[in-house]
Amino acid sequence: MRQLALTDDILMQIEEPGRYIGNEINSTVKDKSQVALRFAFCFPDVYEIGMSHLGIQILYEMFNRRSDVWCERVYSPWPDLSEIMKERNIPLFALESQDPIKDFDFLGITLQYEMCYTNILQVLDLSGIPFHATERTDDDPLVIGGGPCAYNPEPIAPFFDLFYIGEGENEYNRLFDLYIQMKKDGSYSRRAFLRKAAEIPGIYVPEFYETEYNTDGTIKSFHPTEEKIPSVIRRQVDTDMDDAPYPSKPIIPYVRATQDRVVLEVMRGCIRGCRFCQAGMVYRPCRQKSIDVLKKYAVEMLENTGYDEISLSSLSTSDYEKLPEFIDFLIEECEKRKINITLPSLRIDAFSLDVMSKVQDIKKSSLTFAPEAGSQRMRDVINKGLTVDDIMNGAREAFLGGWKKVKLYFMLGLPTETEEDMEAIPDLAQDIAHLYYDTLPDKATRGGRCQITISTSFFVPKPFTPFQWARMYPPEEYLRRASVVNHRMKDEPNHKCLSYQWHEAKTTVLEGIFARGDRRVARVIEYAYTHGCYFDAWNEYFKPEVWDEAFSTCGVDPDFYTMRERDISEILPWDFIDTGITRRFLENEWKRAVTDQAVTPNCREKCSGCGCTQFKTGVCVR
Amino acid sequence: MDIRVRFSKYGPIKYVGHLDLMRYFQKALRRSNLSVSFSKGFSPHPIMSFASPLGVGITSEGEYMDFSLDENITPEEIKDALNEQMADGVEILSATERQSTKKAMAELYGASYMVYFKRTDASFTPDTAALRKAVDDKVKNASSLVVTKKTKKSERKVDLLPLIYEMEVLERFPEDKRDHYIPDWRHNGFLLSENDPAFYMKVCARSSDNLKPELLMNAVFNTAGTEDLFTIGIHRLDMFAQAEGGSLIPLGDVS
Repeated sequence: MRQLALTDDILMQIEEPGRYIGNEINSTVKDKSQVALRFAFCFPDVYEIGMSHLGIQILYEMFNRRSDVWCERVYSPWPDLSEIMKERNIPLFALESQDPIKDFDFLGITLQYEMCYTNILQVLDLSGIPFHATERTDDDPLVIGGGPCAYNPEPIAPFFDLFYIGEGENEYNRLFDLYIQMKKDGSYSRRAFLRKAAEIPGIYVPEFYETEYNTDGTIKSFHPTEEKIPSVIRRQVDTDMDDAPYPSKPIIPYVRATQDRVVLEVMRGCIRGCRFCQAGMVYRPCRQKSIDVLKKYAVEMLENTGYDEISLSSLSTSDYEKLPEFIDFLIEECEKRKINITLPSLRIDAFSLDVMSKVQDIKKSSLTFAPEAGSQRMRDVINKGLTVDDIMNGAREAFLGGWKKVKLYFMLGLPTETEEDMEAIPDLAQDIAHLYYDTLPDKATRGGRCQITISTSFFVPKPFTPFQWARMYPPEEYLRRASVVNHRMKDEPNHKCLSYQWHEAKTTVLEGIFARGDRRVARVIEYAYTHGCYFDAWNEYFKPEVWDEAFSTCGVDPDFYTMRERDISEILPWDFIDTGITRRFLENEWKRAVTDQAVTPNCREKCSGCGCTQFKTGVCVR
Repeated sequence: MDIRVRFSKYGPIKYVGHLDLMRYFQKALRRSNLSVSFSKGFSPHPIMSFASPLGVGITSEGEYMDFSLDENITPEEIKDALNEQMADGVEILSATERQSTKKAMAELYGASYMVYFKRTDASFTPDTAALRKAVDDKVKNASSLVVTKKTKKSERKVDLLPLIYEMEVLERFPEDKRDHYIPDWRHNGFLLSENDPAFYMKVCARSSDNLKPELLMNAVFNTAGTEDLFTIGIHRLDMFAQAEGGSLIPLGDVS
């Protein structure tokens, strides 16, 4: 039986020791003497969150199909353990082999949200890997980043040897082949490898680039410092979703993960083009998996895991064209096997309500609408193709079907937002509550009050969206906007049916700085980590006063990144990445949003010429 | 048909708590393709019940789980089908068909344990003779062993003696069991020395009077406050029902 990295006395004094023991059903164990490359895949957050991430499971499957590669997993140790490891100098280890990360060839870190940036440093720190890539030796693992936040890697660029821009399915094999070859023929050195890796499509090696700044702090130029290093990095797009590797035997955690079910990706990308949504842009074009492939995976994954629930994953599942046929199949299979079906990201309409009434306990479940904005004007600005009629018709059908709980998601602080737009949020909730009593006038039969929950987050502009030029606001202004909503809600006639929750304002601003920051932000992150910040995404560990101190000590002005509307002519820190979406399209969409307030049709109605037809796949080739 | 399986839990998986172990077994039952009986309602799940939860970090060779099948196959086939789905450290040791539908939890009357010192300080040397004397004085030749039990609401005095069926100080932890169920005994944070004594105890485990081994150890040896030297390691050997006439028989032998 294998030896654990942590001793019994430690495991017995920490929360959830099951997070650190590995050995889960369907995890991959290989003989380390028989592989040429060891890859530690890290999600820099707690195990239960990290294990819920589909992307790692896909690449874990793909990497481990190679007999010469062994991919393992590592997550951020929770603060209780993290402190013990620091105190006793216990190196961070991978779950499968329990071997130190320092012994690996690669440490891959997925970047799913900005608020995990300090946890990257925690992982490097506990692993004994220098924070700065340029200080690493040939014996250190190569630290590679990827995922949505890699579309602006600059605030964390110094901490990474390389980034992979785009979908991992494409070029990882080439990167591994290069590494294994260089190790074999003795030509490997960290520097020589990075030099060659930088020529692989989608690979960005930060240390081969430099930034010059104007006196006003904006970027003057960004360029490679060596010959043959590409000045533009192209996003990698997987053009064959049916052939793409998929984990038909996903790892089953012992400790209950947030996503404790089979997750089936039905399509990648989205046809909608909401102007605030980074995923909707950087995963273009929308690519559906064929229904036969989905049927096969659904059955295999249920049989290989024993999960009692299956969930469909995509940015907008209602847009999967064969959804009715696939749902019929799932309902039949799942009834036979006594499996629950959950359907997030569904548009609320007659079809989805019919489906949901078959698969859920209506009395217990709530319906979720994401209008994102309260007024039609604001929804047009963000290009959310959802009308008030759509919402009201959906709600009416839902009430007739027996639902009483409705959740509404909105954003505050969107470009051009006015007081009327803010007040339209509780007004919409009021209209829905009113509709409930109109639809079910008989007090005896309707059985109680409806419950409408309003939830707002504060809008954070993201790179490669039409809103990448937009300004943000100070925390007090966000809270003022939330209080406008709150006061208005309390004055609504049906306020007893309404409730309101809003997001933390300080973390929003920090997220905004990281999302659109440049390399100068890195030293702030390093300062904050070395002064006690990590797990910033967890309210109980978020230390705003340390962050304030970090910015002022490092001489970095946070307002520079958040309070300015950028000029179209400004060089943005992420401009060297070519996502396939043209700058002209984004500029045009920005103008259509704030000047014309015009709606752009979705990709199936009419091609808007974003540039992604070059990938010759998905919705672009119909 | 109603089935009772006996299983072991040891190695790294001993750090998985009871609720997670239940979820682990639910999935294993589904994967096994046995036609397990399900609950009714909106979220049907395999009906199963456990004799008694096992604390995190405790090893065992005497855990029991009951469930029902909608088909008739041999206990040996059930055992094999489940063992195919087990992770390292959980072994199905036996499966028996039952006539009674009484659940293990309701039948549970006693449990037996092997208890040992996990040393926090390597220099700690237990005095076996003194430990034996303590058992003689406080258990074997005593008329009562009163401890104060603190609950959230009140304190009450309880006599543990009627709850102790057997208690012995052994020269050492039986080697075959030690090497199999506590493979990390030699290192990994707890040093169980070759020559350390072990404690065998068979005690009451009824839901109303469950006697925890730690409590008994503290009552006999006054182990509270010794965490600098050692903590107490526990290995569950078996669980018992009360047969007619009062004798205890393993839960796996009750049909």
